[in-house]
Amino acid sequence: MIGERLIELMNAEIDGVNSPEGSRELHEHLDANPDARRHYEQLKDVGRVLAEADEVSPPEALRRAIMRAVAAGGNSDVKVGFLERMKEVLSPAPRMRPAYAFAGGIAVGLCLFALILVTLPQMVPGDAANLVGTIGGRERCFVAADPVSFDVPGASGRAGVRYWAETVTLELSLSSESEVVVVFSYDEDVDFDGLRALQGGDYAVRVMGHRAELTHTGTRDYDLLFTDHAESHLPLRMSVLAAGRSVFESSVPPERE
Amino acid sequence: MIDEARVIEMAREGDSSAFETILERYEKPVFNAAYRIVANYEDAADVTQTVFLKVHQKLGTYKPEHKFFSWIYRIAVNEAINLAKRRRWERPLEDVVAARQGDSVDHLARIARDELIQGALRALKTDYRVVVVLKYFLEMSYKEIGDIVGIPEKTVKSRLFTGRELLRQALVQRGYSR
Repeated sequence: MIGERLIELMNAEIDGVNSPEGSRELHEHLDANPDARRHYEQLKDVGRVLAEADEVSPPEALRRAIMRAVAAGGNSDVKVGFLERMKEVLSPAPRMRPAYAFAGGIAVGLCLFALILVTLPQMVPGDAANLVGTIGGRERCFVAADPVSFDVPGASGRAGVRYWAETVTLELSLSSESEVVVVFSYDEDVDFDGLRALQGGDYAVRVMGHRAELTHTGTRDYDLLFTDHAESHLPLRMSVLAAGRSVFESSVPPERE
Repeated sequence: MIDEARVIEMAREGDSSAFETILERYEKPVFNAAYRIVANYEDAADVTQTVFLKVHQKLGTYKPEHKFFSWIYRIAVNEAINLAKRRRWERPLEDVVAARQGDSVDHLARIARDELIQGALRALKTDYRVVVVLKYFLEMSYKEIGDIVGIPEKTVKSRLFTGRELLRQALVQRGYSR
């Protein structure tokens, strides 16, 4: 049985705030009580293990995003963090200043015109090189490319991308009975900014260089967010692995045949 | 090298390169503290961004007689606590673990250890986790932690002792401590 006084002395010793008398009292107890000694060593191990934790690097794009938001007036409405940016990109602007209303109207009109253009039959669907660029400075306008669908042993799903000014959003619906890994690889001009699941459950994401790996089980929809620094819209490469074996590979949007 | 007080003064006057210097100095520690508190990579990035936008907006209210790092960490901790409490029931597993192509076994072992640490921290109640993070990752004193979290030193000690005890039990359970 380790008393409250002894626990307090142990913690004070670990934190380096024990008095000389307190320290002496503690060590007398520890010398006489092996259980207390083990408990004390285990408490010290907490600090040792936490000290071994690696420092984590923030996303490379974060500093640039902060400076951009600050330059835009430091208003949190225009910040471009993952969740906020996802909301910003996918939902209409909550407030619009009257001075921008007219320009906004024109931008929306041009946007709709651009969308009609890309859906005309003479255009090659899904060819990223032929996609029309975005209009409007706040990434409100997008171009959707043809989605990729797959139904293979172990998994089925659908992935579609939307190209905004600098942002690429990928909507992924995935269904599998057992664990599958979906690997997205992308050009060095593209940064993976993050992922969110629209339903709960177990999944995990790993980022390795220019690859993002999603480990998934069950049925779920995901939104993935990328920043594309290239002048043209770059396709993403996607492969699905079931039981460690590749069962599906494609680029998103699909390559022109 | 310009001292921090001067950099802060320049940033208050609207010098964006001075603000970027503050960002460079504090981005990583703020991000890491947020990461350990919210236990999620993307949320930590969002918290960090919100923190620096608030720092930028509120620089005019900062009183130079206080320590700047306490001021900035107070903002960071409050943002992280708010988000951690909001997220408590929302997401069971959503970590992005940083790794690089061609990682060595040693590096992968470090990732596994980091996952263990994150798991143990995540199991703590937010109030305990915050104190543990400030103590162990930012190496703050009881007083500094109390100032940042807004609680008396006595409460800091009590939360730290409880948090440390819970982590001890978690590490023993996982075979990391005998």
